[in-house]
Amino acid sequence: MTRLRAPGPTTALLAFLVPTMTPLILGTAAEAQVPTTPPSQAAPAQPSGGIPRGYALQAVSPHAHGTAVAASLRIHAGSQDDEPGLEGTAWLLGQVLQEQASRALDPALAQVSVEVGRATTTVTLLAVPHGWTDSWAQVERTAFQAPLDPTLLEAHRRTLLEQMAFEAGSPFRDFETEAVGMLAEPGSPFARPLRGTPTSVATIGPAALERFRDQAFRREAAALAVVGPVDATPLLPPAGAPAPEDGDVAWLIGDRVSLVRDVTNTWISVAYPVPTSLPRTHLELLAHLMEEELDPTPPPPDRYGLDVRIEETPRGPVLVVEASVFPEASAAWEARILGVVRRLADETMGEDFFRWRRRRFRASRLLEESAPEAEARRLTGDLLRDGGVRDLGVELWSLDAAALRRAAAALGAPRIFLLGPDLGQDGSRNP
Amino acid sequence: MIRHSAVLLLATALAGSAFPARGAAQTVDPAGAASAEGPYAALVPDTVIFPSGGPRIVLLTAPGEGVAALRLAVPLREGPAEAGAGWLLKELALERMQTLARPVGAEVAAIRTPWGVAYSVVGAAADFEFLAYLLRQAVEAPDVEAPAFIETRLRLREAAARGVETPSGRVAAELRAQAAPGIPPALGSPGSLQAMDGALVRQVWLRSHQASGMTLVVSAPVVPEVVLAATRGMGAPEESAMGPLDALAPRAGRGATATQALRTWYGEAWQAMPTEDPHGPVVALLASEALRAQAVGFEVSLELWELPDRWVLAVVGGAYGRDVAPMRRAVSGTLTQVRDRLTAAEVRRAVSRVQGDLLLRSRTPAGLVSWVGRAMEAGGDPRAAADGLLSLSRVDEASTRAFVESLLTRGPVRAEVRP
Repeated sequence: MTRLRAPGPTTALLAFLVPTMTPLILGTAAEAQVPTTPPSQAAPAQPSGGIPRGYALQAVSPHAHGTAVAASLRIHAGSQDDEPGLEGTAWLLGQVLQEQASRALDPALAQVSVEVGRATTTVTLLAVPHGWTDSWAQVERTAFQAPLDPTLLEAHRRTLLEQMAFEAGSPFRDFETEAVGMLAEPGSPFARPLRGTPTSVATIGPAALERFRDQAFRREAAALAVVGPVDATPLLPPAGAPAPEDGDVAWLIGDRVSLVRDVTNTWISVAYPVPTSLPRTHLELLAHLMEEELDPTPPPPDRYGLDVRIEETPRGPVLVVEASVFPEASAAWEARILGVVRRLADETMGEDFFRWRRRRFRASRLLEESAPEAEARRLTGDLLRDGGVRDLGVELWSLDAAALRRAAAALGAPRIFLLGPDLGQDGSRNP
Repeated sequence: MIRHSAVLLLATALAGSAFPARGAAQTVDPAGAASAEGPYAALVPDTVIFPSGGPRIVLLTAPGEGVAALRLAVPLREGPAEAGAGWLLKELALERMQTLARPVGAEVAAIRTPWGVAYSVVGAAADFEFLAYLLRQAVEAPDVEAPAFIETRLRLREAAARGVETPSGRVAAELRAQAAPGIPPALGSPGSLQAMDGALVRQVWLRSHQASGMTLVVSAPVVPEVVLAATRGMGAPEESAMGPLDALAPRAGRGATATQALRTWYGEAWQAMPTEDPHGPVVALLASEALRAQAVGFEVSLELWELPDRWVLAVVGGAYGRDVAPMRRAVSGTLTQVRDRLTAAEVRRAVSRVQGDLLLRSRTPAGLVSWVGRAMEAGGDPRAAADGLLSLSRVDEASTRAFVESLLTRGPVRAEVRP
């Protein structure tokens, strides 16, 4: 399944109440790249009804017949904004805010989740319709004003340090660190460890969290989206046309690096830079089809895991394919990944075949957004990235085979990273 | 350690006399519904249609755009020899549905409920006709000659055996048998599944999968005519319906086997009727919290079983040596603890929690049809989901205390497995 960036914790809600129920999963959010200059310079439209005001960018999608309201707040700050030496501040702040806000809410009426990415942080509320505004006011108070509870910081720091001690020496963490380092310029804060290091986490105090919050959590630089049965008129500002300079890409020159480790499988990351002018829905279709091609049902027996996702880097979006494979199959998998992109760029899919593929993509996309919290998170992602929101209903229908081919052809030179065991001349592991 | 498990389902009393005659359509005034049900208006159907020959169609306004969700409920009762046939039918249908749904990206599900089998599909509204086709396939005759039938029956036998091989499962099975002696377990028993053949499963299908008995709940931006056209002629041929359930004689199965236990396992179960009583899930929630405070040194689990005509609150604990006595006291004292700790605030909080949980589960089209459809199964009332939430609002400390007292007066059934 295509994942649109999953930096934060996936939160299972209500599980304690009734495990036999389908747990409510507040899924993951699309991390957004914030344009330094908003596409539209006009004063932002303000919502009607009881919708909170004062945010730089807002969207409201009323669903008269919904049974829950979702409100999502996205700010342009994440781990890349941690102070040097205090890496992990954004992550810990997210953990503390989530627990502190949860404690302030009536769990019967509302649940809150906080997801921290490299460039953005998202706070999402899911609440029953009556009284959702009170719940949101409580979340806002916690996010922007309430003194942070130092005991929560200590508890989450201890948990995080225990996790890090457990993961010490993990080859996957090495792979993750090196792979993300290839997505940005050397020394870029984007490549800092999302959760910090044991040393940095140990030194983060309440003052660092407060300082980060004061600088990052500002309504005038944030996006808010509300979805559900709210008494308000729709507010769905369309995104402006991409500026000419939006043809930028994250990098122009590809690269290939491999690291040898005495491990039992090989991790591969193939990252393609994407022009910022490429429509997001086209890119999502491309990611979806690549994952379908690479990870059919039943899955190939020589792969342990596969993930296709869109990352937002400081210089623009990047399409990342990550695979964990049987070491002897690593060369074949690298070729397979590169081959899929080449084929999608070189060959125009037959119209009938394309329609089937689009049909699956459309269903997947619509089902994903049938949960109000997922729609709210997508809207805030659109707002911060494009200054407006997509009309998915229209965009999904307008996709055609030529657009797919153009999207694949627009991908730049890939940066490839492999971490795995040494393979001999014959392609097998040395004894 | 505590495992909490419950099925929080509510339904309202039968309202059959309010139904329009077959072949007619009843349109529910949404404005009227909203004023009557307030915050729960989204759970009230817009239209109920009784096409000749079935299935009954219940239309809900879609909460969003672009997604269609359908749930088809098939009433099904099993005789003792047929126990597990419904489960087998839904497993076989699910395999057929999954194979067909994958190419269009639709999601499918099939579940066994206390009243029958329910098949669900959700996908793009533009694929509505295909989604309906998936449901038609779900209620088609099972292929009892295919290898999948043997494999599925084997999986089911293993699952049923697991239920009685473990001491906690054995205690639960004995509690269930005492609490509801006339109702065979939905999963079947090792004995019934051992003797179950293709002919028997097909008989159950012919008897149960008649379109006239089915109910289809739809949340989709489509007009009723489209739904009618897409669902006409589904299910088993009407003239093939078999004789009454009781005519089928039970078959002999393998007897119970001994269960190895290292700990003492003890359980009690209280039952109440009917399943529509909104106090059930509220008391289950309060009881789970009361147990959690006591469960130190032993394991205890609480489950709310929903049966066709009643619900059963079952508490099962397991303990070593000196912890056996405290464990037994905790299990036996569950409801006394609830009664003694009862306050108006605690009841309000529990009610609010159950209501909130049901609303959040209904926030997607799939969740909406699942909840509305399931609430309807007990009594057939299209408003059962909304009315169930409203009836919860009337639960207070006094009514809960009276409910708990009635359970205590009636007393529990008991079961035990010793090392």
